[in-house]
Amino acid sequence: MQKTLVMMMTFALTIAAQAEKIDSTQFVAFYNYTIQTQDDEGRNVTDSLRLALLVGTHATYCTTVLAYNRDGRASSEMMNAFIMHHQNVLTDVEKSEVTALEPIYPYRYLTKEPLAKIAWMLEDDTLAIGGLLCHRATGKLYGKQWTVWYTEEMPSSAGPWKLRGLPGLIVKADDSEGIHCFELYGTKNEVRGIGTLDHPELQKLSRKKLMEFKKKTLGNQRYTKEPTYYVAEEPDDFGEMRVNGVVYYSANHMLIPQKSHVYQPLELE
Amino acid sequence: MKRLLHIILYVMLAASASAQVRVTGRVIDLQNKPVSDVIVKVVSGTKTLAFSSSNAKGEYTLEVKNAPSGEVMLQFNHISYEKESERLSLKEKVKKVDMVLTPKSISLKEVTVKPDLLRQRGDTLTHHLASFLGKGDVTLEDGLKRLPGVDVAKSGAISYMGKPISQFNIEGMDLLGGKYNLATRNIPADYVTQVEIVRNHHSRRVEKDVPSNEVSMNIKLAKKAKFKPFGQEEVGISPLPTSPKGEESFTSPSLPTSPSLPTSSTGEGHDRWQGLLGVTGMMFTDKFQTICSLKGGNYKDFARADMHDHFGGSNVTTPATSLFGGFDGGAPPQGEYLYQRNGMATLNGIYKLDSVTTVKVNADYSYHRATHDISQSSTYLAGDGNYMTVNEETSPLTKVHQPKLTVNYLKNADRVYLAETFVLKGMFEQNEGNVVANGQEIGQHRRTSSFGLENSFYWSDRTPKGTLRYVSVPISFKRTPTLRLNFNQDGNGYVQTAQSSTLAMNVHSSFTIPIGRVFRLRLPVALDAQYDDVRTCREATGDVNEVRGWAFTPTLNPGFEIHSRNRRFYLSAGLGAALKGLYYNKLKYTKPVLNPSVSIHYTFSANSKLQFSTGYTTSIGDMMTLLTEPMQVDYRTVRTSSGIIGESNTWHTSGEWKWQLPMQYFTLSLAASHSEGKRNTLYSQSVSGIDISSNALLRDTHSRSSNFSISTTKNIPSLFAKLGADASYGFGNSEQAISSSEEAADIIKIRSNNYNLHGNASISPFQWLELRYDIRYSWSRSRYSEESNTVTSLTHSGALHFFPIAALDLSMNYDHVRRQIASPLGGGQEGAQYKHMSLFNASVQYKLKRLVLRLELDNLLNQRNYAYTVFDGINTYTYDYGLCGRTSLIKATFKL
Repeated sequence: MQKTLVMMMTFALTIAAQAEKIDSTQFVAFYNYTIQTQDDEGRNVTDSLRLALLVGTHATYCTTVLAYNRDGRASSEMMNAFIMHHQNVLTDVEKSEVTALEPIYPYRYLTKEPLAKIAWMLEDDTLAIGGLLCHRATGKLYGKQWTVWYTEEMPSSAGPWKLRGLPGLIVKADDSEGIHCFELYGTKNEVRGIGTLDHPELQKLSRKKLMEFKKKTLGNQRYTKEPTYYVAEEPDDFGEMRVNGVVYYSANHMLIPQKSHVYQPLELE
Repeated sequence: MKRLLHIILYVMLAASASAQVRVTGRVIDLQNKPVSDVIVKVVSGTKTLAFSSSNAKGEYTLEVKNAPSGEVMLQFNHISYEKESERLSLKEKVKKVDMVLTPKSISLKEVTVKPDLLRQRGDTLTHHLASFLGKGDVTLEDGLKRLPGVDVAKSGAISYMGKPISQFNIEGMDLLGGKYNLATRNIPADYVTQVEIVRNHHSRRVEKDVPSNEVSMNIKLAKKAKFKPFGQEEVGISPLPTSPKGEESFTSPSLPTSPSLPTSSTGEGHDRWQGLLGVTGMMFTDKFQTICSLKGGNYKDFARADMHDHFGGSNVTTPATSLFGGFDGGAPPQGEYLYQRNGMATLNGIYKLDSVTTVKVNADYSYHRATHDISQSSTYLAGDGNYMTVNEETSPLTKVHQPKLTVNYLKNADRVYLAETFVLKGMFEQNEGNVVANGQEIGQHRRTSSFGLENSFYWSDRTPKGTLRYVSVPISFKRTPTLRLNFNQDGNGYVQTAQSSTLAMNVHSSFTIPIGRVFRLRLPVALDAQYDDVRTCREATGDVNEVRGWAFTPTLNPGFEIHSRNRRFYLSAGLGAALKGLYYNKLKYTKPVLNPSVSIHYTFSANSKLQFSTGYTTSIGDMMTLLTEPMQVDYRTVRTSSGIIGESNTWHTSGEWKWQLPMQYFTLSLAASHSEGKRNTLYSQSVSGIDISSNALLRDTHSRSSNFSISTTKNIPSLFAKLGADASYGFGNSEQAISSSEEAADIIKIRSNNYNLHGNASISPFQWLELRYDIRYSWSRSRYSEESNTVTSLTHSGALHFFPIAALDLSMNYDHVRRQIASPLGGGQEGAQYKHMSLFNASVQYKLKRLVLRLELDNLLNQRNYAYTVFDGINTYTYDYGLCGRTSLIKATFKL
């Protein structure tokens, strides 16, 4: 059984080992992230992934719950992290900088960008979500209009992915097209270090260039049926494993999707 | 001119600049180190005017636009530091406030966001249904009964805070109209994720800014219920131990035993076995929804219940069928009394052409055959001051076939609404009401066929300037080609026949023109036109009525609306000018009327609303009053209209306050209403032997009534408990005349008052136990001349559900009724006769993933009668219904 499990976190642990600690968490917030999209046959599907947002005094780090739990076993949720093009996002308010790490088979890409200032419009509308009194706000980030519900009961300006900057923790965020949704499902008090994201093997480029690369590569019609169509040469460590009857393929510490879903970009500009 | 513009621009800029204040400062900790990412906000009351966060140097800048003149609070929040705040007066354009934060000693509370029991957004309450469900709940209806403020009547009618819902949607689409029992009784509860209740609902989006008093419900389905067909199949069977006229022949305990009934429905249709069989299929996608069902059986109203139309409109009611009703004998408030066979087939489909346009087809057919036994004692005040009592025993039998086809096209966009509906329906009835009255045997038989064609068109739009206008043109044609009543007494037969045709057209149109943001002018115009052709013939005496002609009512109702800027206050007033015209045979009757009305709504908050309305209405009689020749309505009732065009003027005032705290699962509503009426005719009753005839006298008569009610519900989610209580009180007076053929009429003034108290609770103290209790007490008194009649009724209903394992539900239901069946003449309670009745049912239900097995044991105490008394002004009616005996049924429901 042990042979069938591959520690996909090897690379993440390597990064963590080399990381420089910049802050400590005050609490961790957990979100469900969903994308409404279509599969390779054009059928409507909903992809979902659990996210953990580590909130420090001046820095936050948004990653998957699997990574937060140091669970490196191949699973459908881990596959979703690749299909959904989840980014690990480190936000440092002191440096006024956002660092994003995204694996796009067969490489990992690192981008750095200045902390975006979102012109949030606070509205009078309120909503109780899970017993938390939430206020509505709308704002635009990287070409997408967002409607968010934040709670002043959690006095932190943090939020999932790159959404932040409100007078309370973001509890729910929906884009105007109803494609992307982040929804809080719990918080936990825990002290953990938040470190920088850096590694010599990371492909560093600008956010704009990565966005254009994704648009061109993942937005291609071939992508859903053949998600690795653009890869010229397979890496050397190509492997195959079976977990609970499901066969997964991996290379370069990444799962390789055999079929994917229509790419739904989070950033349009 | 240019200079003037520059001056205006300068003044505006200066004014705007003066209203903007900049607040800056630095946030440090006790070690004088800057604190970054501190949330800094300016708050006035509960409203956040501006916010920002501190940078790496601890510096922040805030721009407060439209700064208020009074004091505001400047708040500093950070997860690692204690919250700080400072009062601030924004008189200067630039303010500098530095702050020192103290590290927080207590960490934040941990939060687990469960699926919310309830979410509120504006007027929409979203219930997470699974959080409310009990273990024994199978259908959506079972789940709806548990929601706070929601009441589901025995008929399946849903209401929220006492207000019946006006629309039932599935995933936002109105597939079924008023026949929503098809959904609530066939969709499994675990297939529904959310139930949304929308108060102030607008079925037409163009009217969304017009205050509404409607409530609608929308259900959201689980993924497993979408994009693939599903359904359920039901099958059940049981032997029927005793028939109503079988070995255990029916006798009334309170009335003299009668000889056997004449040949009629006796024994007919009383089956030896009871059974039911049904299959329902449904499918819901984003664009298409369908529910199809085929059911039949002779167990209770198994198939008929699904076809109940809560918005009405399924029956075909014509002047002929209104004049000559059937002999169904009413219904007892409790207990199963009908022996029935019913069946139905229904096909319903709705297709979304685009995001705002749908096409819908509903095709139904239902069959219903029912019989029961009833003894009735009617005491009438005769003209000479004496009382006349008629004792009757009957077993009315009713057979009804009802086909209906509805096709609807709907475009419901923000700026335009277009609806076109075509309806074709029929109603074919056969009634038998043979009766033994004071020892005499009389045969009664009624047969009628009616059909109706309706086409309604509604168009409404809102112009970019906000003008709202609409045109509504419903046209209907209803016809009863034959209605025949046969009576047979002492070997002599006599016949009453009737035919009627009605063509009705109601053209309504209105313009609502906004004048400013607060005031709107409204100009509705309408023309109601109706052509009637009615013929009745009492063949034994040759009495024939033939009335044909038109009724026209053009209406002009100019009015206005005031809707305050904060949308809290709304006032609507109309003049209601109309010209009522009746042109039948040689009658030419025209009367101008004025019916002013005022309606006021005040919204304190999304959860607290006050409504008040008052209006004056004038009703003019119709062509029915021209049927002056006698008509044999039943074997002992001859109806003769006066020929006087009745005029009724009523002033009605009502007020209601509704308050709810959704997050505390609490609702409260208070209502009061008062009506005063004046009519130019007086209803007069004449008794001769056992024959009752009624007429209208040309005499002014007055009536008055007032009602008060209070209703509250409270849920305690931790105990899975729902508590409810309501009470009402009413009083009023009216007038009636008693006349005999020889004497002048005596005018009787009747005063009545009544109150009702009702409480109910359902609680699940342990996972394996659920208790329900319901108590209802009613008291009513009517007084006239020297007489006073008081009737009380006390009903207890209890249910116990025991779950030894999660899938097994053992339940027992007990009803105990103490009802007054007779009151001594002269009033008071001494000598009053009471009847105690107990009904006991039990069931066992075993619920698997795809199968529900249920054994129902009804009326285990074998209670065979249910009796009660009604005081209707000067007359007293005592009913004694035969109840179905012990029955059992084993039923299986398969999820497909």
